[in-house]
Parts: sequence; structure tokens; C-alpha cells
Amino acid sequence: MVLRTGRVTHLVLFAVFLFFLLLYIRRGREIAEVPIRRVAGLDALDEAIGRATEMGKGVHYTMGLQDFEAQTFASFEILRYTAGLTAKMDVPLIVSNYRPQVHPVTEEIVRGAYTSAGRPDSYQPDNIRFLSDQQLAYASGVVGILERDNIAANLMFGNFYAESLIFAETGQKMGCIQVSGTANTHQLPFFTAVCDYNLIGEELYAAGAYLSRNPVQVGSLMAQDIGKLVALFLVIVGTLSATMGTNWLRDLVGK
Amino acid sequence: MVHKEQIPVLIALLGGGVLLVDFFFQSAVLAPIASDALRWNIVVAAFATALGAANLLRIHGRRVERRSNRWMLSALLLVSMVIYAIVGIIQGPQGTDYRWLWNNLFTPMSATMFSLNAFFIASAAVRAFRVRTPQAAVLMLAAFAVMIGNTGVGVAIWDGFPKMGSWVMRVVNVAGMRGIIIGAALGAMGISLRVIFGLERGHLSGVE
Repeated sequence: MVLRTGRVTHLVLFAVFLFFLLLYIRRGREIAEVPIRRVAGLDALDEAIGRATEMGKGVHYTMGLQDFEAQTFASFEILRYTAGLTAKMDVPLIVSNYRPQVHPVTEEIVRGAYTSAGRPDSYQPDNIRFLSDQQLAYASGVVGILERDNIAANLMFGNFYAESLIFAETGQKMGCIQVSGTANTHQLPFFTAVCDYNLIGEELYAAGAYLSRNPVQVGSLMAQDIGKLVALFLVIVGTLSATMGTNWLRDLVGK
Repeated sequence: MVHKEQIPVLIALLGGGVLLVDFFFQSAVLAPIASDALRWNIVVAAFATALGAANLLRIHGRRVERRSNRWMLSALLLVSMVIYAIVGIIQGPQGTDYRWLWNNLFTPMSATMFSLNAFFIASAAVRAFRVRTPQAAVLMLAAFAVMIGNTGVGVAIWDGFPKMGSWVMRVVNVAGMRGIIIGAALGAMGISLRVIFGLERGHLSGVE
């Protein structure tokens, strides 16, 4: 087994991150009460679902186009929280899926959340819908739900592409309160321009820790902060060294 | 005795672990296993497609059966799905009729949906560029610099506009985007490692 060329620094940085991740997760219960900065988009979930309850309308949730990747797992956490709230408030929750392999997981999450909330009878399997695995066919399906199914809150968390603006503008047209979150930098401007609240990049990944205060997730969030400090240090040193005309850091990272 | 919930955790540990090690190390033993693990994703997706089709049949079949509101749209979906599936199974994806259906029905409808973005971008831009706060004013100025720098009129007025627009895109925009990407990459690493090590289990049952 030989270390791949150009991956030495990656491995060292990965090992440092893994060390802090496991350290903080191990200390999770001690640090579970560590304050997390306010994320308006996540606080707005309660507001959005509350508004749907008052209006007697439903909530729509989509997790974008990707299958099992990091953003989807982050979205699962938000879906679980959302489903728990809609179960408690007895609001219809429609989940539209693009990936057929993600579909059974969302069914399981929503069913589990309704059971945990003590409302297993309110769970509607027909509201967890697989629409299509073709991007624009899926987009037309979501537009149909937003226009016809009496939706008051449109929640979009995950990896989105060209359909992001179609969803957001349709939701806007229908008067929905819209909360979105993505780490896809190409779609962030669209969501920021149109939605009421938007989670930007890492805020999406912090959602689980923020909503549940789960010690493992809070520990992981602290490790990410250490990672950010390391990245910040490398950016500053790299900028200074490049300004002085030396490329030693660039060469080192390339090893 | 392996509990039902431990099986997906074990699969994630083995699959994710192999791919992670393969990313850093070159190994004649590991490389084909990693390649197979990626191919398995396609196999799983193929099986899952059947689950998705079953979900569509169940939901829309029930709507047609009960003559629910807009049941005719459900009937249209089911008829299209069945015809397309039959033609595809008989002829394969390169069959003449299959390609005809794809090129003459699906593609124009997809293009229609995509073209909506042109109008939506305009309406979203109008909303975003309303100067209500100092931040919105900065956004408006930056957008003005980029847009006018990319038009012939801008160059005709002042040849500095393209340089200004380019500077906004290359320096200010890239700096902001890289900050977002670094934070998001660390978040993705954190969540991926939690899944691989079985520390993230909420998605397995919906119960925290």
C-alpha cells in the first residue's frame, strides 16, 4: 500500500481533523451545553410550520437532487425535526423525492418522527412522494404540489441545481413562507434573493446540532470550528508568503 | 447477533472506509474493491427505481380509483408511465419509438420547464436589487459593475467597466465563495465521518 502522490498534506490535515472530531465527540456530554450562534433560518422553521398551522395549510419539504451525500444527510436531520413539529401541530407534511434510493429513508424518518411525537395515526404514507428521477420532470412535479396542494411553508434543504429558482419563485408566487439551505455555491444567490430565510453552506451541516443539541453533533461542530481555525491560519500564511514571492506553502499542500 | 439497525451501519463503515483509504493510498487489492463499491451504488439505484415506480403507482392508482380531485392528471401519468416502460422494455433505450417519445415529448417538455428560469431570474433580480438596506445597495452596485462590464454599451461608455466587473468576480466574489466552500467542506467531512463511524443514526429510524 503506497501513499498517493499529492495526498500527503491532505492525509495530515485529515488526521488532525479526525483527532479533534473524535476528541470532541468523546467529550460530547460535557460540551453539549456549549452555546451555538443563532441561525435565523433554523429558528424560522418553527415560525413557518406555525404559520401553516394557523392558516390550515400544509408544509412541503424537498431535499434536492442528490442521493446519499453529506448535504442529504444534513437534510435528513432537518426533515426529522420538521416531521416532529408537523406531527405535534397536526399539519400535513408533503415530502417530494427525486432519488428513488432516498425515498424509503424519508418514509422511515417521517414515520419515526410521527411515532416519536405520539401521533403514528396521523402519518400519511401518500404524502411521501417519489416524483421523478429526471431533473425537470421533478421540478414540474414540485411546482404542481406548490400550486395545487394548499402549501403555506416551502422548505428546501439539500443540493439543488437549475431547479432551485423554479421552486423558490413558484413558492414566492403562491405566498409560501420559504426556508432554504444549500452548500451549492451556484444556487445560493437564487435562494438568498427569493427565500425568506436561507442557510448558507456550513449552516446546513450545523442544523442537526442546532436543532437537537445531540452531544455527538455538537462535538462534531466544535471539531469543524478547529478545522476552520486551521484553514484560516493556512489562508493567512499562504497569502503572506505569496505576497512575499515564495510558494513554499503551495508546494507543501501539493505534496 | 447483529441487530437489524447495525447492518446499514456496517455497510457504511465498510463502503465508506474502503473508499476513504483508497483516496489516500494506492493498493492493487483495494482499488478494484473501491471501484466495485461505487458500481454498487448504480445497482442499488436500479432496485430503488422499482420502489419509486411502485410509490407512483400506489398514490396515483388510488387517486384514479377514488376519482379524487384532478384524477385525470393521475391517469395521464400512469398511462404515460406504462406506455414508456413497455416501449423501453421491448425496444431498449436505443429503440426507434423509445427515442421518438424521448425526443419529441420528454425533451420539449423539459426545455419548457428549464426556460422558465429566464423569467424567474428577471423577477428574482428585481426583488434582490431593491435598495432597502446598505447591503442591498452594495449588492446593486456590484451587480451593476458586473452586468455593464459584460455589455458592449458598457465598453463604449468607459473601457474601465469590464475591468471593474472582472475584479468583482475574480477577487470579491471568489473570496466570499471560498470562505463558504471551506466551511461547507468541513461540515461535509464531519457529517460523512459520523455516518461512516455509525455515530449518525437518525436517518435509520427517524428517532434520534
